Parts: sequence; C-alpha cells; structure tokens
Amino acid sequence: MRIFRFIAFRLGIALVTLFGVSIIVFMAVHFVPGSYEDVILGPFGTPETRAIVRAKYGLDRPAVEQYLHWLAATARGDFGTSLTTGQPVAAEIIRRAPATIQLAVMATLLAIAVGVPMGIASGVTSTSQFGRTAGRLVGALGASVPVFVLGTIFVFMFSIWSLGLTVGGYVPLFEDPLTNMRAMTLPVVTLSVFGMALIQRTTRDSVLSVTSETHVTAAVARGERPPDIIRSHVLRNASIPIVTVTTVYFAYLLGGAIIVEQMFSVPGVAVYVVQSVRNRDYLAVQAGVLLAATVFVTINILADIVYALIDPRIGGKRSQS
Amino acid sequence: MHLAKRFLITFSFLTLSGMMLISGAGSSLAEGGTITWAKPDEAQSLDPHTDFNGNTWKFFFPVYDTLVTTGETLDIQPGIAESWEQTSPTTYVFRLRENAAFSNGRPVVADDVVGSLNRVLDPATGSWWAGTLGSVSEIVAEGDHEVRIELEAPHTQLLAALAHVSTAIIPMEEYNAGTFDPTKELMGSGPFMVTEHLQDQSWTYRANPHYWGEGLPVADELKILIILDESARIAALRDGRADVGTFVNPDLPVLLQGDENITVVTQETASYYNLDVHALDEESPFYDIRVRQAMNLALDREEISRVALGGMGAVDYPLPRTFSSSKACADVPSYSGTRESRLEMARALMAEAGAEGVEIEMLTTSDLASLVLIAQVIKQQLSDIDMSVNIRQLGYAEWIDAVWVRGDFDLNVTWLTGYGDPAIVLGSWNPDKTGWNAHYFVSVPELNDKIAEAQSTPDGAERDSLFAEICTMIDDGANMLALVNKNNVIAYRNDLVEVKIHPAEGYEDELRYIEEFARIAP
Amino acid sequence: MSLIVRGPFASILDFARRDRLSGIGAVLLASLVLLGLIGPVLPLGDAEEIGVGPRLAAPAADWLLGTDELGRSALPRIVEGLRATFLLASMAVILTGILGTLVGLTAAYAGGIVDVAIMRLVDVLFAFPPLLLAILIAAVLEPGGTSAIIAISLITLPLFVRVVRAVALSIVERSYVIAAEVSGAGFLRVIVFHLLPNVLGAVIVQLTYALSIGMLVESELSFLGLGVQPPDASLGSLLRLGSVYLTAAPWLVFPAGLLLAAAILSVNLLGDGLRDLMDPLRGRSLR
Repeated sequence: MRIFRFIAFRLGIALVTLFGVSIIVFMAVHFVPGSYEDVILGPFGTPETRAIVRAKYGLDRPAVEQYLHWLAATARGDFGTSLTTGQPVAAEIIRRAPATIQLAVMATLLAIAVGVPMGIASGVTSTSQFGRTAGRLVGALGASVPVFVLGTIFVFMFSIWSLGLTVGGYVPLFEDPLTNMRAMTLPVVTLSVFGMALIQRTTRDSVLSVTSETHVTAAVARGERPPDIIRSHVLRNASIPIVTVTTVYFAYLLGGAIIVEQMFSVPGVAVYVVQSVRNRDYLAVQAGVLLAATVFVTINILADIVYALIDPRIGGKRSQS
Repeated sequence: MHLAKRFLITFSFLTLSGMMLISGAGSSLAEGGTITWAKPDEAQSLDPHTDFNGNTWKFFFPVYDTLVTTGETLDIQPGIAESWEQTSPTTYVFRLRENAAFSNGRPVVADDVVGSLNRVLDPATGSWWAGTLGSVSEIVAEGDHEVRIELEAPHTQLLAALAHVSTAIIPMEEYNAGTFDPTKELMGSGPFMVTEHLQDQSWTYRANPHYWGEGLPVADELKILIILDESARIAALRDGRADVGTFVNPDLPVLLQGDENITVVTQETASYYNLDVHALDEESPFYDIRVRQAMNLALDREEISRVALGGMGAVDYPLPRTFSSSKACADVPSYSGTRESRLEMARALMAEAGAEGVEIEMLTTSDLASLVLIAQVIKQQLSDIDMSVNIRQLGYAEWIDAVWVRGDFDLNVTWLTGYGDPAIVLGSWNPDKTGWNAHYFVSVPELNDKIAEAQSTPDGAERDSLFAEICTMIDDGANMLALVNKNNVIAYRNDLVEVKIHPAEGYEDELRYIEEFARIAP
Repeated sequence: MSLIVRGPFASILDFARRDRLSGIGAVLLASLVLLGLIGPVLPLGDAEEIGVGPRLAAPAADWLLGTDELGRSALPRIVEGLRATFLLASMAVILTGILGTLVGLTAAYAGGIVDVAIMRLVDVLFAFPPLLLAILIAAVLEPGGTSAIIAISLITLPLFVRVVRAVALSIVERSYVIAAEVSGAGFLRVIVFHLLPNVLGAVIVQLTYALSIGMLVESELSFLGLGVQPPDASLGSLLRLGSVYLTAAPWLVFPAGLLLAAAILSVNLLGDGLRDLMDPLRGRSLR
C-alpha cells in the first residue's frame, strides 16, 4: 500500500510542476516583444491589419482567458492548430518525435555501452597512480568538450573522408534503415560523448566506494575471482547511481538536443520548438515545452518508483526531492 | 575550382545584355527525374497575396503564375497573359493564354484574374502589395480570355507590379466555393504543384500536367530541402543529395575549393542592403539633418562591399544599380570624391551641428548573417567621425517589433527588394504613401511630388532626369541609405544537372528558370 | 573541512602535492584566468579593428592566428573571447551560488510550506528544457551578456539548491543548531552563523561543477547567437562564426575550440579534486 501512496504523491507533485511550467512558458511566449502579427505582417503591418490578424486567431482575448482555454484543451489532449501552417500541432510533434526519440535512445545506449565498461575499468585500476589519473582525465575531458565543438570537428572530418556517413539526409528509421543510420550516426556520437563521460565518472565513483565496503573486501579476502567480484558485488551495488544519472541524461536529451538537431539537420522536436519561437507560433512552443517537461518528470518518477521497489526505505526519504 | 572561378570572372563582366549561364551543354540530358534544391528558410505563411517575405515567395514561384513576368534582364515578359496592350495612358488590356489551366485541370479564365487582383486590392485581405498597383479604378473581364485594367492616373510601374507573386492568379471559382483556401494550401497554374510538405524538412512538387509551357517542366519532380545550417547544406551538395543550393555566405567559392563538380555563381539583384535612419525622434542625434548627412558621408560603401561581403555585391544606389537609369544616382555627394574629402565634409557638418561624443544604437537581426557583418563595418567607419555605435542584434520578431512597431532605434541595417521597375523601390521614400516607415521618416513634399511624377512618367529621358533629381534629394535627406547590392549566391552540381541561371533578378526568384532545369544522364 | 581549519595556503600546497591532476587543473585554470585578465594589456593587437589584414588570411607574423571574415586578427579576439567566457560564466555562477545557498538553506531550515513552495519552484525550473529557457530569456531581455548570465544562472540553480538543501537538512537537527535556537538566535543568524559554515564545503564543490556547466552553457548560447553581441566575442561566438569557415580557415576554429575545452577541463579537474578532498566517497549527480 505504501508504494501506491508514494506513487500518488509523486504524481501530485508532477502535476504541480507541469502546471508551473505551463504558466511560465505561456507568459514567456506571450510577453516576449514581437508577436505573431509582427512576424506575418513584418514592416508592412498597420494598426488595422495587426488588429485583424490578432482577432482572426483570438490573440486579442485577455491573456488569462487564452491561458485557461489552452490549458483546458491540452488537458483533453488537444494541442491546437499551428498558426504558421494551419495544421494540428500534435500531428507535427508526432511526425517529429521518432527522430528525437531515436537520437536520445541511441545516444544513451552508446553512452552506457562505452561509459560503464570505462568506468569499471578506471574504478578497478585506480589502485595504481597511472590508472587513477587516466580514469579521471578521460572522464573530465569528455565532459569538457561542448557538443558543437565535437559536431564541427565531425562535420569537418566527414566532409573530407565521407566513410559512408552523411551530414543531414535524415529519413525515418523504418522507411530506410540504412540511410537513416548513415545520417544519424554522427549526431548520435556527437551527443553521446558527454553522456559517456558522465556515466564513466559515476560508474568509477560507485565502483570506488563499493570496493571499499566490507563485503567486497571480504570477498577479496575469500579469494573470489575478480570478474565474479565485479559482477556479483560491485555492479549490483553500484547500479543505483548509474541508473539515476542515465535516466536524467536520457530525459535531458529528449528535452532538447537543439544544437545537434540543427547542425545535422535532424528534423526533431527541439528544432520545431526553436523555429516556432522564431515564428511566434505560440501553441507549438507551449506544447513542445510542456511535452519536454512531461517527459522529464515522467522519467524521474519512473526512476523513483524503481528505487522505491528496490529499497522500501526510499519511499519516505526521497519524497521531497 | 577553376571552373567556378571562370564563371565568377565571367559574371563580373556580365552586362544586362541578356547573357545567361547554361551549364552542362554537350552532355546528354535525362528525361524527367527529380531536381533537388537546398535552401535555408522555411515558409512563414502560405498566402501569396499577403506574405511579404522573399524567403517564403520561393515556395510560391513554382506553383503560381502571374499576369506578366520578367525575363533575363528584368524586362517584362508574358505570363498568364500572352500579350497586352496599353490602349490609353490609363488602360491596359491583357489577352490570356487559352491553354493555361490550374493543376486541378480547370482552365484559367478572366474571372480568375479579376477575382485574384481584386482580392489583392481588397483592404480586408491586408495585402502589403496593393499600394504598388497604383489607383485602380476597375478590373473587368471581357469574355473568358481578356482582362481590362482601368487606372485613375498613369502608373508606369503597373506591369512590373503585376509581375510579382503577390498578385498571383489563384483559382477563384474554387476559392469562392470554399474548396480552396489560399492560407492553407497552394494551387496555381504554374509548372509544379505541391504534393507533400514536411515542415522545416522538405517540400515536394510534381509537374503540373496541365501546365501551358510546352515540354515544361523538364523534371517530373522538384524537391526543396530546408537545411538551416550552412555547412550541412554544403555537405548535401557535396554528397549529391541536393543538385542546387542557395546561400548567403559570400565566401562560398572559397569554402567549395577543390570541388570540381560544384559551380558557384553570383547573381546580381535589384535588391540592396540599406540603412534606415530614425529622423523623427527628438532624442536621437539624427533628428538633426546635418548629423544624418555627416553619417551618410562618413560611410565607405566600397569597403562594406569588400570587407563585409568579400567583394560580392557592388556599391548600390537608391535606384538599384541593376537598372541602367541608376547612373543618375552615382554623382550625389555621398558617392563622390575620396573618403578623406567626404570625412572632412562630415566632420564640418558634425561641428556645425554641435554634435560631440554622439552615441547611437544600431539595430539589426540575426535572421540574415550578412547584416551583422555590415553593421560591424559601419560601426568602425562611423568611429571616424567620433560616432560610437552600439550594435543590437535581435531575433526576427523582436526586431520587427523594435523597428517597425515601436521605432526604438537610431540606425537599422536591413535590405530592400527592388523588383522590376525603378519607381517601385523609390516609392519607399514617400512615407505618406507607404506608411511603413512614416514613424521614422521625414516626409518631404517636393520629393513626394517628384516620385509621383516619376511613377506616372513613361520610361525615357524625361523619367531619367526626374530620377537624377530624386536621387539628389534622397541623398540630401539621408533618411534611408542604399549601401551595397544584395547578391544571390547559387551553387549547383555541374555533373548532375543542367541549369539556366539569369544574370539579374528583381523579385527574389533566383531560380526563375527552374522549370527548365534538367538532369544529366548518368 | 580541512581547507578552512588549516589556513588556505598550506592546504592548497598540500592538496596539489597529494593530487597531481587537480594541481594541474588548478595551474591551468589560474593561467587561463590570468591570460584573460591581462589579455587587454598584452601587445596582441586590437580585437575589434576590422581590416587589419585580408579576410580569412592564414596565420602570419602580423596576425599570429590568422584573420577572420572581417579581416580582424584572430588572436586578440580569442583572448578577449576567453575573458568573456570566464566572466559571464563566473558571474552567473556567483549569482547561482549566492541565490542557491540562501534559498537552499531557507528551504531546509524553514521547512513546512516554505520548503514545499521553494522545492516545487525548483522542480519547475529543472523540468524546463534548459536551452529553450535561455532562448526565451534572450527574446524577452534582448540577447547579450545580461540575459546570458541570467539564463546560465537559472539553468545551474535547481541542482545547486537541491544539494545545499540536502546537506543542510542533515545539519538542521544537530544539537548545536537546536542550542542556538533555544538561546534565541534569529532565523538569519542561524542560517548565516550555524548552517552556512557547515554547508560551505559542499557549496564550493558544487560551485566548480556549476562553473564548468556554466561555461558549457555560455558557449552553447553564444553558438546560438544569444551570448555577447558583436563585435564583442566569446569563445562560443567565435566558434559559431568559425565553424562555417572550417574547411577554408581552420585557424578560426581549432585554437578557440582547444582553449574552450582546456578551460572547462581545468575547472572539472579542480572540481574533482576538491570533491575528493571534501568527501572522498560521495557519488555525484548530473548538472
């Protein structure tokens, strides 16, 4: 029963958070200087034509009314119509979601696949001065290179030696997997380097702290083989922080790989929201931001529930953060 | 690279004698196929009658026809009208093509033309182009294939105004029946029709089977890829995902060095970068005409062209250099003498105005990369007359709001499109008529009269001498300054497609002949 | 807590001796900061003068790192960019540090409804996509240094508040805090004199991470054109312009990119060392 109360509590907090996000994003897009009619009429707008456009799209209504109207519609799952294209915002987001999800999933998987082994390796070798230094340096270095620097270098390298990969040229995965992978490899690698470093650092820390615990020392004393110790003692106990950092990283990627989507022409949700800010396509921005926040909050709840199931003590303690 | 270089050199010597670049001559051409064009911006709205943004028009050009159009050197050419006649100074009669049809198969009739033009003129439509057409008293359909336009006063630029996609002929029968909504879809009588639009990603067009042009379009399909990032657009050209690309970067030839199969061409336009000056704000130093004049004299347009644009885009005049009559503008004070002599005059004017330690705000938008480069060069030039400039680079909507809604600026770097008649762009210097610059522009009655006179005077020596007077007055007022030509930079795969690129463009339609582009057989 | 107890100088020396990598990080950071600080007085040339040489010229005696798209010498611009990057990121992080510490301590000590309200606000900030937040702030306040500082600060704030609050919570119940309360110490007094000294270690460690994230975010903002405005430069804005010319003028990209990576690396190495010093076994979380 306790777990259900915990879940209900977390859901309640999530709703409050999303409510706050909805207010902030609504206020931000509506009070920012420059509005939809400015974009559409440009220098040639007159007070009269501007009023016509505002009335046509209901932008002349009081802000509170517009907000409540939007909130009610969103609660029903209706994201409204794009001012720019006259098409439903939801359809546009659904069309773009696969690219963003693919980018986030692949980057996260790659980050785990590289980061965890590297973390373990630098954790168990850190008894030596060299191992400790190398492990720390690699982790710190990976977390120090901005994505666009990496991206720029990749664009440069692959404009000289193509190696079968392309800069841009995205097609949906299930339409043409080969072309898709050729276009997605570079953005995925670019995006995952930071994640690799993050996971490597977390894994290394966890391994270090676990290896100093008594049951591991005991296992070593018993003469168990190192691979067995790592598998049965170290990894099991180090997994919680690794899962935490990975979920946060994944949620972060789903929320906005803006620069990478832009550099590599990946038609994802992040670019959509940025372009919509430029065009003052209000509903598209609001829906995009709220969706990103929802994904972020949901993934965090899922992670919390998993911990609560693993360790019943967590239910009470973690509830506040 | 030497291929690209050769064309560049050729182009710098091109005059408006109708020379045209045609590549791939000699190779065998493939039937049909897809032509792919990579460009940086997505459409902002879909209604050709109301959208003012040149980047958006490019999606309309393949779909919509206009009554008339312009040719290789901005000369008026037949469009939907195969011929026309000016029967009196205020009457034009257009004879429509009998074989023109919308992409749904319905023939274009005079009622479509009348309805479309009336929609443009209807204040409720809110078309920004309506004023350019002059005072139209009536538009009448004479049978199915003849349209008569009656004006209240002679208006020389009428044909050039009708050549703009803002007067696109839309299917009025379907529009009136409610089965066609120009704000949500595109349907015209042009060479292509839209089959798919993936926002921020691509537009796909199929050949319009009912198009009137014989054997056109050559390709079956036209694909426009929207690629924001310049390096990614270059990559698309390199790996053959795009056949043609359009760019703003003047250094494209340098960036494409070593790519033998990519040709870069620059196309002169009737458009230029210009500087708006806020002359109506008492707080602004530019409220004093002498400070404006000094600023104008202190500019070094040649350096702007050379440094900010890498030499692409020559010094330009209020009356765009593409028009031969622009010579009349070349001798005004801010274009004559050495920079030193102009600086001397400028400093004298500043002293006379008692302007010391002047600080000004210069606005521009990050939407077009070349603008901020120009702004930085201007900043340095104005420091020569002790004017310190603070550059504020805004996002697009914020910029529109700051400049045209609130008028919160001293200088604004932007650009003007020149179209097909010199008087269209000169009309911008009459704030009473255009309205959009009335909040920062001093209305000069004599200048307004001269512009009106030029607009109603037929082309010829009399009009040219009016232009010369107008240019002198414009330079004297220093309220809106032409800087340098805004060239189009086009790159294409010379091994994949045969293209036809005209030397001068007035309406932002840099790939005007895209219906003639053909794939080269592998 | 050894840093505070034993006097700073001796402990820094000791720290560098025990932990070479962090020592290297500290030396690297100090020299980069120094370079940024004295940059304007070094005889490198004018960072803003247009047309010093031809456009996009390769490195030569008069322009050691080549010239940019306006014929400006790249070297002084890179040094200026380094200074701007450090300045913006550290101002933002100082703001985060002050605000985050106060808010986090208040939440922990006040508890109840105040705590709930603060933590929900922090949740909202945390859930907001960071770069979009920055884009909206730049649109509202106009792109530039100020809006970049505010954006970086708001992005680094949520985690900072959480960490400070979590550390403070473990202290609030301790006897000396309760004793202070009993003796009639006011709210502010308890926070400043009893809680603050005990969370300082965690704050310092967290500040270094915030600084490294702040520099990453600053460069990303500049890359999107939202940071310092031209003709001023930051490493991010230089990289943004330079990346276009990568094939033709690599000198516009690689020095600035290396410098940016080195700056962030130095902060990260130092941060790791400080953290090990404060609490050798505690794991760390993202951002």
